[in-house]
Amino acid sequence: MVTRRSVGVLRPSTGWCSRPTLLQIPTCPLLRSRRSRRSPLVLRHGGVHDPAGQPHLGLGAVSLGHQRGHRQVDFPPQVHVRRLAGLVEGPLGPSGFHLAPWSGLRRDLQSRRQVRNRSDRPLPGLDGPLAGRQECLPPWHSNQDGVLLPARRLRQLRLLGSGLQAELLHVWPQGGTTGLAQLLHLLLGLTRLRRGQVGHVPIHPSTQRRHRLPLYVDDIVLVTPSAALLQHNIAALQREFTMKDLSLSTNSSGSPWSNAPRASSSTSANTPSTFWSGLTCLTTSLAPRLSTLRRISDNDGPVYHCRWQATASTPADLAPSTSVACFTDPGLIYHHHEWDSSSAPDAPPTRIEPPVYHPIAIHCDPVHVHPMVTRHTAGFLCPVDRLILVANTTTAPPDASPVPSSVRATIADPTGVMLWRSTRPYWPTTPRTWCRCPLGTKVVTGKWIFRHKITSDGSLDRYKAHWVFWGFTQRPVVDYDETFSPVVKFATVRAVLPRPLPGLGDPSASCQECLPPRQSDGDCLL
Amino acid sequence: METVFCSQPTGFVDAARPDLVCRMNRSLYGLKQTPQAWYNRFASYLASIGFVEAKLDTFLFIYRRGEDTEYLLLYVDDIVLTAFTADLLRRTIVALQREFAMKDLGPLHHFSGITTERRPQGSLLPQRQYAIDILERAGMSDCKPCSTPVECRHSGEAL
Repeated sequence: MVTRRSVGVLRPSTGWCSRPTLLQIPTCPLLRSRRSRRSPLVLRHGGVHDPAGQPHLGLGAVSLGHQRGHRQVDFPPQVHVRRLAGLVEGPLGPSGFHLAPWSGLRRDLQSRRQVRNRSDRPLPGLDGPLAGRQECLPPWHSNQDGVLLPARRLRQLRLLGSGLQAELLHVWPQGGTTGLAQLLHLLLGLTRLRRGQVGHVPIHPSTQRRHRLPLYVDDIVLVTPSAALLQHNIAALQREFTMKDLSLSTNSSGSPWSNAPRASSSTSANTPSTFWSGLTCLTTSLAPRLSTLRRISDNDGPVYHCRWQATASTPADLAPSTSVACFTDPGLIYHHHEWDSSSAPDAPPTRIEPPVYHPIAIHCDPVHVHPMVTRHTAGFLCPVDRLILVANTTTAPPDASPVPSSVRATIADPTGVMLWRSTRPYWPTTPRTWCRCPLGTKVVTGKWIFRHKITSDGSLDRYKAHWVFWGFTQRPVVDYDETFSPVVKFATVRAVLPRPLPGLGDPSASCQECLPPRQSDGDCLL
Repeated sequence: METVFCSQPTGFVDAARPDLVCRMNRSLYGLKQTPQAWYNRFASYLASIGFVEAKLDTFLFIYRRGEDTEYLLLYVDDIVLTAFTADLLRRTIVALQREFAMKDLGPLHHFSGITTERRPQGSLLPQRQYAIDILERAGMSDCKPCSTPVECRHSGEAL
């Protein structure tokens, strides 16, 4: 594979950016500051008390400056966060959250493969509180209400999105603000990954024209206990900044989250008080970023469901679990993506526009820095069906005996031999040529192939059992010298076929297919 | 050709001597030596009945007896026969069927993705069906054709 980067092209291909206007920084008034500084990634959150005194509101914001030396670096991210925090009601929550230790993330990343296939399974040995491990946080330092991440850690953090997800399963049963903050972190982290899928090339020092837009500076996730509070906060934010609500359109019902129970299942609608009733995504630029994050629903405890809309279509997915938060694995989202348009056919369309879906891919290697993450390197081993062009597309008739799963039970079984027959008796019952092979000889083994032979009219012809050698285990030069392809040249076909032979007006050509020879002597094969 | 040893096939392992392996008397499907073994087998028989391997292509065999000329094309296990007379064609088919298990598919109309259409001045060899099959397997049979499969209104940045 030759990537654009490997051939020295560092400029992003605009053809890969589905929305090139995303790269326009001047639309964000927050980023107009001329201050040049080294900006860390700031991930903040705060719990805000509602009138009842319950810490219900969480505000997360990610600000990302550029690396050192970049002239377009913007505002102090803390200012951004504090301005945002000042707009919402109440003071910031008392407690911050803390990211897991770096080693813990590494370990979780290693255990990701076990989690990948069963995302609802809790990680073993991760039942202790994370707060006890705060002291081992060398890469980052945390302050009162947030975690400051050095910019050089950004890529690693991005790559560890799934590790954070695994950590979330750990932290989540504590509930409260910590879990919320972790969730926000997860959401924003995943969002950053999705932008990476668009093909955005990160800043490179040798690039002459540097990008002017730090990624994900202006994405905000709001979580509120009530729809009214969410609406209020959105309005307050939109008064100050140019923002766009990405989750739901403000339809006639007023609250964008009045339709949340519709998007949810009946189970959450039956619960009288939904703790976190709304999760919305805002962006300060005029283009959608966070497109698929839809809701967090919880009834009365540290149980959260964060499902992408793509996978929340079935009610089984929305049933609240009892002990463990269920997060859809990004790899599963990749395969199951389908926009939820058919779950409520009578409901009015609530989205402003169908968002562009970009699959999440996280590289298996934690030190991977290139933005390109292929499906293989992300661990998606399931082949893409539409790219499989092998010709074996014959389907057996429905009444036919299926292909046996056990070779021994089929071949060794007398009735199985009767059903699945090979074309000729391969193996004589009385072997005459058994011998001991010389030392070091390659012994080729094989496998049985069972195949339904279909006649031209679609009916079942016969059950074919076929012993095929694993020729790929033979080594070149050692086991064979030259290979031979008995394929006629196309030029020969063209030279012979279209020409009427002299002396014969109508050439009589015939096509024959050679079946496996009946005789078993000689060097014949099929 | 190299001597090939293979393990005993699953389900047919000799219980008394499970540690023995087989020495191949003849080639079977899957080996690297298989195509050449098949070619040697087929070409030797064709030589015995009078065919000569063409210098142009090793898979084109020519039979000449006076005015009678016959061409044989071998494509793995598909054979195309073209002869001057129907009698010569029939004799060759009988000779081949005596040696190999064959099935006569009749007049040539389809050969390795090439459809042959008889015209008075010769045969037309379109590959339309072959292209359609590829499109169907790729699930693109409903796609609209495009002469230039790139974005025409690209912003002009050199890649």
